[in-house]
Order: sequence, then structure tokens, then C-alpha cells
Amino acid sequence: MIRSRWSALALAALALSLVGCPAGGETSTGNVGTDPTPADDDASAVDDAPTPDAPEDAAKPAQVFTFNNGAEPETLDPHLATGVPEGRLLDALFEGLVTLHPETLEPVPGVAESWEVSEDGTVYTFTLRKDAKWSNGEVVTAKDFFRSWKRGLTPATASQYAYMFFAIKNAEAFNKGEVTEFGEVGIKVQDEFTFQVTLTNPCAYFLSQAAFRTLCPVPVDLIEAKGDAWSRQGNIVGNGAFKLQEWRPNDKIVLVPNEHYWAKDEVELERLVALPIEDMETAYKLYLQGKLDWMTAVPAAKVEEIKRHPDYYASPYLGSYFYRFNTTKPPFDDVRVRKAFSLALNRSSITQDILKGGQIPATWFTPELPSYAPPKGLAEDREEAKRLLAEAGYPGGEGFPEVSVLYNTNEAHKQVAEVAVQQWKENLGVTVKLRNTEWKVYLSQVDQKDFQIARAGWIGDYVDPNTFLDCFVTDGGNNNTGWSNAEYDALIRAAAAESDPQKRAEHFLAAEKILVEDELPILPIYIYVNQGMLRDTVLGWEENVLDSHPFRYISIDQE
Amino acid sequence: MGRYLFKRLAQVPVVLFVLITLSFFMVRLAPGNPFSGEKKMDPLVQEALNEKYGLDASMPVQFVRYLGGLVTLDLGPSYKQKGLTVNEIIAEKAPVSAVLGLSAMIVALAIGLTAGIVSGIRQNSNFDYGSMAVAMVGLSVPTFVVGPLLALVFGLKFGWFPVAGYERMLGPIPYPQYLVLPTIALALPFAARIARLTRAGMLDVINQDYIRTAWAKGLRERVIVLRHALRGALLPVVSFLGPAVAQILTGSLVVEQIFQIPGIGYEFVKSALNRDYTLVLGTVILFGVLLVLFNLLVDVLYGFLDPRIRYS
Repeated sequence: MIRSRWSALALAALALSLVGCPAGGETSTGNVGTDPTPADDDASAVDDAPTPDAPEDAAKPAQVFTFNNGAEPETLDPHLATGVPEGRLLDALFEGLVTLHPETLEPVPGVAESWEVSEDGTVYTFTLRKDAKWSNGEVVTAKDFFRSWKRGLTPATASQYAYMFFAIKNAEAFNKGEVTEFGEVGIKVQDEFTFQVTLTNPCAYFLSQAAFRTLCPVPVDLIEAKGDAWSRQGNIVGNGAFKLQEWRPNDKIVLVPNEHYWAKDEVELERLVALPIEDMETAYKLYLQGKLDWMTAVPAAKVEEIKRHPDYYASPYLGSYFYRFNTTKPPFDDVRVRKAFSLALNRSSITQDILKGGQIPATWFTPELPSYAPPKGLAEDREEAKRLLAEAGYPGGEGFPEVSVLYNTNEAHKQVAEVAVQQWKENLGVTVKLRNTEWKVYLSQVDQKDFQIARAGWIGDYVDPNTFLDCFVTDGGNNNTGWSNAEYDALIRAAAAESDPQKRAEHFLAAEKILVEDELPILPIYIYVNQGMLRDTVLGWEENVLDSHPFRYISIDQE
Repeated sequence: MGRYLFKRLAQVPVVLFVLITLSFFMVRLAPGNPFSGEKKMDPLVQEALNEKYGLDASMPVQFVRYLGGLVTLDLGPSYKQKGLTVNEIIAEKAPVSAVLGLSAMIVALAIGLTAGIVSGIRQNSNFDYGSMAVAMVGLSVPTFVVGPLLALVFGLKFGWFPVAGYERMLGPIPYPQYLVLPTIALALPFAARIARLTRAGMLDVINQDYIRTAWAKGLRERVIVLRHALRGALLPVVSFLGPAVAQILTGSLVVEQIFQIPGIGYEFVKSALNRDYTLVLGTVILFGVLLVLFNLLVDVLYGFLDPRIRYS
């Protein structure tokens, strides 16, 4: 028993030494484990572990919610933030015109108590509530929104998510410097509490975007006075349900309720603690020791063990894992080769044998949404794959040039690639090599198309197929495959201009069929899941595809 | 001695200049940039960011500007942790690593010296075999195995210590229970090295003439070992300690990640991975200064430990 544990340990250690550090980016799935705890040990550890209301934590106020935030936030400036860790905090510190319902993700009133949409669907008139206040007690007005959005769109602000504004008339042109007069952008302060937004086209997801942090109001006067330091502890002013009490870099961030928040009576948590834990093994141990109420992800190597824990949860996530083909160079400039590679891949062996977290094997790109059912894509068919490869001039893989799969150094990416490479070898007779590079090098290689096949992940910004399918329009910034298809571009444009939801979904469906059934500049692999652990004493935490869990609805069961 | 010290101190800026110059250009030659991410950045946004942080200027211009800042001890803004300066990051995190490092160094010295001295005097005894076997394990089992194992056993299993975290008591000093496991994990390889070096040093010295003379004079073992033998035996330990102290005081990514300690060791690695140019240079300068100073201290200590060494 002892011996087998040590050898397992040595193996795990070896594995870890090969992995290195998990790179940044939202698709990193963490690193592998180092401690070979048998499950029965952990079960007893769980029993011993103090729960939040055990004596050890009795000194803390009861309504405290502690979670691992995954990384240290780069900034708490809503216009500059880009990552998930920032997002979780910003959604507590700021509030947009609307917010999303925690379960349905439908827009519900935020700073705006109501809104009207013109008949053609292009003019939104928001009526702001009079009791919406900043955390310094000042009233949030339509002018605040106007000035905030102006800041977000000003090129010098360099907001990476400025494209969340682009449904608004002339917003993109202003952001790109083509229009210099901000007055031409479709936003208007009608009076102190009335804010009007004019869109270029009717946009089905504009309200969802209005809930996004980039469109939240920011205290422009404060920003002008303090510069970059405005969003730090002691300076920052927000209008969300919580305010920043303490920010210790790489240590913790503590939020407390904003006593000026308009719905402060509904907020039950008294203290919110975000720990920037990157090592998922550490987070897991802290959870077992009762120090976390919510573990926002799981260590990849422990999935099977954690799945048996009653606190484990898994639900679909708005993210897609796929491979890009470099369609500008042989052999993947030939659609038959791309198709062959896709047809020869058994995705469920990846999701079931490697990932094990309930990821959905997918031959399509967009996760299923309430408003959109993706096409089925190309089902696995080895014979057809062989036939296509032979037709392309490589019968049985003969004469196939040397190619490789590029991925950023990470154990999970490596394992997925190994399975794919092995299956291509077996089913097509082609030899594909693995090529891993460190995160930033990987990004620059993908950007310069210095790859044949490259691993990729895409997380949607809002609940609409557009956030996925818009990637692959000709010369799109996130296309990175060199692929261009006029019909596809036209369908995405048509969807953007369409106000009828039914027709719109049809356009997207036709476009995605081109993407995953006819042309395959990408090879879809699986749809992400959210996995984590949540104490059963936590109330008001709802599963949803955005993995968004607004803290204002969360409370700790006192029973 | 005074002249020697002055000469050595005068070399410090030269060493640091070379270090800074090399690091400055090397980190900028690495592919990628501080702002790249999974989602492609609009080229206009990239331009605006480059302009904001002065990355649009040519490399020599950036270098001169950076040196200009250094003169006033301004290490520049962090590109990754927006709104924070490198000075602030170092001021916040370096003391935490220093507290942990100091505590680990004390533990490593206490264990390492004791084990090394006793093993040296009682060569081939059971204690010698035992402690050297432990030292071999300490050297060969890496921290990323020892750390999680400590957390698992003494944190999770027995519940004696927190598995991770850093609850502050006073300034950068935490409550002692948060220091125990990371201190052991960090100290272990150093203790092992010190024990082996001390043992070797003792064995070397113990057979020399002046020790035999001391025995012949009828001195007690205690006095011989601690006053005469140890001084000579410590020379290799002291040379090891110069760079080791610089290293241990600036933290360790592995220990800091496993035990969730907000120290500067993390930034040494992460800043390079993030291409946070200014923070890379800040940490390099921090380590460089410490390394040069501790090496100097070692050279000075030699003079006290070995009467044969004289600087003029």
C-alpha cells in the first residue's frame, strides 16, 4: 500500500515537472496533481473538515462567502478588464442598465427600471431609477452612462472589449477613429434619468450586452482626477451591490455590501472574499479544509475523485474547444484533408477517457442555446475519411507531409492532442507530431499562422450564436485560419440585420453548416462544462451557461 | 579591507548595468507581448496600449527612458497589473517572501549545521548514516512533491496547520501557524545542502595539524569542535550561503503557489511568462542586488573565518 502510494507520487511528480506552469487565458484547464490521495482518505477528511459554521469560523460573521477566483485580477477597471477573475468581481462592484437573471440569463432591470424599444427595434429608451447610487452616495444619472460609454469607446482608452458597444450606431466608427465627433454615436441623454440608445440594426442581444461590464457606468470625474490608480483600494467608486474593502495583491480581495445600493435590502452576504488561487490542488485542499464555500474549477487530475463528492457540480458552459487548420498552406488548404481529419476523430474517447468531466463531444462549434440549435456536423466515419484522404492524393496516408498540432504547454491540451494524433495514425495512417510552446509564444505563432493544426478555445461573451460564428468571417481578428467564404460572410451579415428571431437563427444555422459540414476550417472537439464544488449551505447560486453567479442573490443558509 | 570593500562596491553598478542591459533586450526579443491573449486584440487597441506605455518607441529609446527612470529608482508601471507600479509590487510582496525566507533560512541553518557537525565528528555512526540519508532525500525530492505532501498530511489529515493561506498578524509577518509548512518545504533542500557541506568541511578540518595540536594541548572536545574546527569547516557552507540567502529571501514560485503565499517569488516566473517587461526587470534587479551584496558579505566573512585569507 505504502509502496504503491510512493510510486504514484513519483509518477505524479514526473507528470507535473513535464507540465510546467499553467498558462493564462480562459481555456487553460489547470495542471495535474501531485498528491495521490485515495478517495476513502478524502471522505474522512471531509467529515473532519469544519464547515463554515463550525467553531473555528465562529468569529467570522455568518454571511461570509469565500471562493477561489482562479487568478489575481489584472485590474478592476471595467473598460480594461478582460478575464474571468476580473469579471466575477466587476459584476459585484458595478451594475449596468440591465442585469441578467441568474437562472434564465434574461435581462432584468438594473440601473434602468424600465425600457422601451422602438417598433423597428433600433431605438432603446431606458428610464433610470432615481435611487440608483454610487458607493459614495451620489446619484447615477444618464449623463454618467453617456460619459462612461464615451470613455469606453475613446480609442486612447484602449478597451479590448470595446466591440461590445458595436451594435450602437457609429460606435465602431468612432472607436476606430473613422468618426471623430462623438455626437454622431447613437447615444443621447434625454434628461437626468432618461438615456436613449440608437442601434445600427435591430440587435437581438443588445440588452444582454448592456448588462456586460464594459457597458457599466464608471466614475469619470474620479478617473480624470486619479488616472490609472482610480480602480485601486481606497479610490474605487462603483455602483454595484458591493464595494471594495481590501485588495491585497495575490493574497485576497474583500468586498462588503454597498450601503448606497438601490436594492441593498435584498443583499444578504456581509462579506465576500475572493482568493486568487491558481493551483487547483491547493484550492481543492482548502475546500476540503472548509476554507472555501465555492471552488470555481476542479484540478484536472482529480476529476474522478471529486465527482463522487456530493458538493460537485457540472453544467454546460458557453465555450467550445476546437482545432484550427491553417487553410493557407498544404495539406490543409484542401477541404478533403480537413474533412478526413475531422471524420477520423472519435471525440467521445477524448471526453470520456481524458477529460471525464461531462464535456460534450461536439462536431459543431456553437454550444446549444435557448434560441439556437447548432447543426449536427460530420459524424465519425473512418471509411469516408480514408476515401477523402486518398482522393486528396494521400492513399493510406502515403506521401502525407510532416505536420504537427500546436498547443500551449498544458497537461490537458497535451493529452487531448495525443489521443487525436494516435487516432489519425490508426485511422488515416498519417503521422502528426505534437508541438507545444509557452502561452505567449503559442499566441504569436497562431497569430502569424505558423502552424498546421492549432488547439484553440472560445468562450462566448453573451448568449447568442453571433459571439461564436462572428469569429470566422473573412479576416476576422479571431479567424486565424486564413479561411474566407463569401457566402458565410453574407449569412453572418444577414443575421445581424435580421429582426425576426426565427429567420435570424436560420441564417446562423446555414452559416454554421458551411463552417462544420462543408468547409471545416476548424475541427470542433467538445463543448466546455463548468465544474466545481459548492457547499450545500449556499443559497441563490444558479447554474447557467455563462458561469455567472451574481453575489447579490447569494446567501448562506443559517439552519 | 576598506579599499577592498570600496573596490568591490564600485563594481556593483557595472555588474547591474550589464545585467539590466541583457535582461532588457532579451525579454523584449521573446515572442509575444504583454497584452496578447486568447481573444485577438484590435490592432488599434494594441497601438493605443503601446503608445500609453511607451512601447511604440524604438528599443534604444525605450532603454534610455528606462535607465532614466532607474536613476530615480522608478522601475516603471507594470503592464499586466494595470494601475500598479513595479515599485509598489515589490514593496508589497518582497517583504512577505523575506519573512518566509528568513524563517526557512534559520530552520535550514539550525538543522543543517547540527546534523552536519555531529555527522562530521561521528563519521560512519548510525547518526551519520541516518542524517545523510535524510539529506539525500531532502536534496532529491523536489519541493513540488514535499509541499503538497506536507499540506496533505499535516494540514488536511491531522488538521494541525492550515493547508494554505497567509493571514497577516503584523505587517508582512503572518500568524505562526501559516508559516510552519511553507517554511519546512522551503528549508528542506537548503538544510540538506548545508548538512552535507558542513559534514564535508568538518571531515576535512578534523584531520589537520592544528586540530591535532588542539587535542594534544588537552582541550575539551566541545572547545575543539566549536572554536577551532567549525571555523574552518564553515568555509564551504558560507560560500554556498551567499547565493542561497539571496535565493531564499526572494521566494519560490513553487512554495508560494502550493501554499498560496503572496510573495515575490511568484513574480519572478509569472512576469516573464506574461511578458511584463518592467516587472521582469524589477525582479531581476532585486535579485541581482541581493546576490551581489551577499556574495560580497561572504568574501568579507572569509577573512574572519580563515585567518589565512587577507584582503589588501
